[in-house]
Amino acid sequence: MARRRKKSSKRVTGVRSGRRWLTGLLILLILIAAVSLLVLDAMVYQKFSGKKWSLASHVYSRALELYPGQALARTDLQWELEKLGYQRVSAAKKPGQYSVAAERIELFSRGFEFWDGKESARLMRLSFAGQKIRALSDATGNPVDLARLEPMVMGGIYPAHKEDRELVKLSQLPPSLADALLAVEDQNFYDHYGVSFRGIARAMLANLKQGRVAQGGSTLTQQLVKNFYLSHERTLSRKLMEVVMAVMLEMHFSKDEILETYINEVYLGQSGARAVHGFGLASRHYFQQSITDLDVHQVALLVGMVKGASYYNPWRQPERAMARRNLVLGMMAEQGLLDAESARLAQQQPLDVMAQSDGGGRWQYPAYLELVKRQLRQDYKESDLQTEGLRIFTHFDPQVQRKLEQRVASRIDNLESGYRIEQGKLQGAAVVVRVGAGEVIAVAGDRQAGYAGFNRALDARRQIGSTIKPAVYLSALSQPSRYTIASMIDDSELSVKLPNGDVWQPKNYERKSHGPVPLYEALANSYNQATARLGMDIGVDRVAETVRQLGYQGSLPALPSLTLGAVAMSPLEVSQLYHTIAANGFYSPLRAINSVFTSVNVPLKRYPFEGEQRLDPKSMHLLHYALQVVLREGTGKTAYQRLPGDLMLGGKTGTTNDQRDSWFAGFSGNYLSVVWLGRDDNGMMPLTGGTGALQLWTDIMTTLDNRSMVFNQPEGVSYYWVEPEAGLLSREGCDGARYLPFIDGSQPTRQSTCRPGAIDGVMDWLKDKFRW
Amino acid sequence: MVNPIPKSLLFVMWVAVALLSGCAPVYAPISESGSAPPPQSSSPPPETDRSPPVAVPDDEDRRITPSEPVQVAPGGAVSRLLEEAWRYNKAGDYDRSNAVAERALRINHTEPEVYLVMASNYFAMTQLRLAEQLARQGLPLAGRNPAVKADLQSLLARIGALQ
Repeated sequence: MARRRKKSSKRVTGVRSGRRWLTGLLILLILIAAVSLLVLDAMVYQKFSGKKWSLASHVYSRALELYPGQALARTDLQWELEKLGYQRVSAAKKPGQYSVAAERIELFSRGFEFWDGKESARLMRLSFAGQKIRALSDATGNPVDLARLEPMVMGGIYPAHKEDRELVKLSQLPPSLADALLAVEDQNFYDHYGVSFRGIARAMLANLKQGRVAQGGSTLTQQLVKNFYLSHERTLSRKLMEVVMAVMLEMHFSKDEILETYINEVYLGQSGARAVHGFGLASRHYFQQSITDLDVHQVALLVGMVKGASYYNPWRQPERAMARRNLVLGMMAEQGLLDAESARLAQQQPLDVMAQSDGGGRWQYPAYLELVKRQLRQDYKESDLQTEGLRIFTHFDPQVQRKLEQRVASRIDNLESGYRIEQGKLQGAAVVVRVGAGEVIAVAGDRQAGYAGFNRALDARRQIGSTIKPAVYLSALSQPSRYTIASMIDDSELSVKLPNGDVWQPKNYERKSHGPVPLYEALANSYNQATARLGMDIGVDRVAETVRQLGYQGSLPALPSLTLGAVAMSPLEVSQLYHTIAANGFYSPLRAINSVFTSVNVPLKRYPFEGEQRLDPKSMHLLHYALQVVLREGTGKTAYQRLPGDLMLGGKTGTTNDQRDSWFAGFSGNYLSVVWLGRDDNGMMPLTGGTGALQLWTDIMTTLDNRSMVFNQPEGVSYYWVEPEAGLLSREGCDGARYLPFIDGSQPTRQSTCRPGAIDGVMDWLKDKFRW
Repeated sequence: MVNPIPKSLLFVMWVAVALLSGCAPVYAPISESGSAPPPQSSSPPPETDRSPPVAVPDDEDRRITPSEPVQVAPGGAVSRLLEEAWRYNKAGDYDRSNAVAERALRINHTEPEVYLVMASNYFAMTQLRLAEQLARQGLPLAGRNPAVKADLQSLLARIGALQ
């Protein structure tokens, strides 16, 4: 009995103990669940209230300035408007539209917040005369001095996951967008707490009826949770998690915050490796328009694509996309968001997506973009560039870039066929810089436009040959007591014994010596022997110092061959040297970037223009004279076969040993362009600087609105008629006399005996006397 | 009354003058030996290289002489930008003033007043080196604008006094 009681007592104790364990376990589980929920809740809150996305940085072109007298053809403006996604209409009535009539364009600009102020959206009328804007007026016909269009997005710097988005605020959106989205995706959005049991029941019923998953019961909040926090796996546990998190989200945040996040998060397409997220970017991607400018039929297409961006891709599946769009428009009409007539009219509209998915200009300019990235990396960490959504404004000129790319491609094709160079072997690079401002406006890094591989403009370091000679002559002209522009330089053969025992024997290109030649003529005709002798006389170190003053930052070999360009540079580096020359000796670091803004448009950094006088303006004037002679009479003279004779230009050809590199660097008053042609395998070509790069340079310059180079006479420089060979002051009309600039005190002092004036006097007297 | 010159003497003089003044060029044309040789292949050179040369200007036209940069007509885009830049300068918003001046620089970098306003901005920001360099850059361009030239010189003097 006692044993039974004991047994019974043991059983009771066991049951009690089991219950206690069970209760403990339950409490523990509840505690774990509570802690888990708290952790989950904190996670949901933290991610949503903090920085939601890693934002790609976007790179913008320059803003196109419009003013009377500006060199801009009507067709060029139209091209830019199309790239900016302006709609051509019969009469521009709202921002982002334009109309064309004969030589007139009427456009409604979009407005833009620039560093220096806001440019408001406005209606403008432009009339054209030839290749220029003749007049610019506002809507009331009042003349306008100056206006500008918004810049074009020309590229981006993306996070590793390649998601891209353009953040928009709910208040910026056309009202029809949010209404249409809710009408299609979640009609009870403002009534539920993240989960709609009615929606789930309805979806289950529909799915049961059809025997497959035909309808989802997820609310917009659940969809956001799935996209924003969870994976896309279809499991019960993930679904439960989605429900819990949706409720949590609704507890912490307002409906509008959730809707705005959804609008920026949703996946709406693909552009290569780049995923297009959010309606802001999708609007640019499909229509090349700001979301604020969309019409209702365009809004309906984007809303329809939420169900499946790939399935309803308007380029690949236009009929399917059209049917989906029209369904959305019908639903909008059913719910009173559109009247029936408006819906019917909208359903009759074409899809209106842009011609092809090229982003309207984005990602077509990798060569320039690479330059921007390199300059940005001097100030920003790569991770910031990829995640902070910076807005980077550059000096990139898409008009110049387009023409540059066309000319590079066609000239290289032309040279290959004309000189029987193996097809595809010839390569090229070119840089265009705005003189004075030091702004790089266009870059070609390959013969093929848009090529994103090896960027020759930045990375192809090739021997620059005679392109270095201006530095040699400038070094000499900076010593007026020793050299003037009329100094006679010996162009006979020379041998220089090098420290290692070798003998350096430079030769002229045509293997012919010219004896004593005036200094300017030696440069104009690119005589190697004269230049080497001159360089050796003034000192290789001095020449190297001048190259550095011009802006070269790399190392320079202290060898005599430096005087003939035995140093490798990229076209961009050569552009830096020649920009200092073009800017009259003022060094300005070449800039691709204008300014950087944060993702919310707060100015972050400006890259202002600055200059530093490194070279004496008097000796620069003499060099400018000689560089003009290069183009008027020397190795660059074929340029004037296609450029106006009254345009003052300076420049220099460059050909390296065995014609492996063909260079030309030259400038007008407002543009500098440097061109390199050669083979990637450093093979020989049948091209010189004059027959190759100069021809492409001329092609490029003919597309630009050039002004004559600045060639004003500085104080301390005077012009004289001289006979260089005799070293005498002379007179106009005397045999061999030339009008040359001299730094005061360095001109010849002895006078020639030539007196053409006396003969002229006799002639005048005779004419007067006998009335000839 | 002047005695008439005999016709025979006149003829001799005329021949002599013609021979003396002759057809000698002002300066001898430069050898083209330095220019690029013809293509080494038997193929013709590229099309544009074969295009007939335009009329070569005569020697007088080819004379290279200095010239002053063209000044901007008042009332245009550059003038409007300069007004705006000065307005920001006077308001003490020097960064914005420089940004506006740079727009003017892009349209015409030979307008000396652009350099004056930027130099004045940097001077006001006590960035004297930049101010000096910009004033020096503008000075050679101010040949036809004595007022701007005087302002640039005055600014340079003030910078010099502070350095």
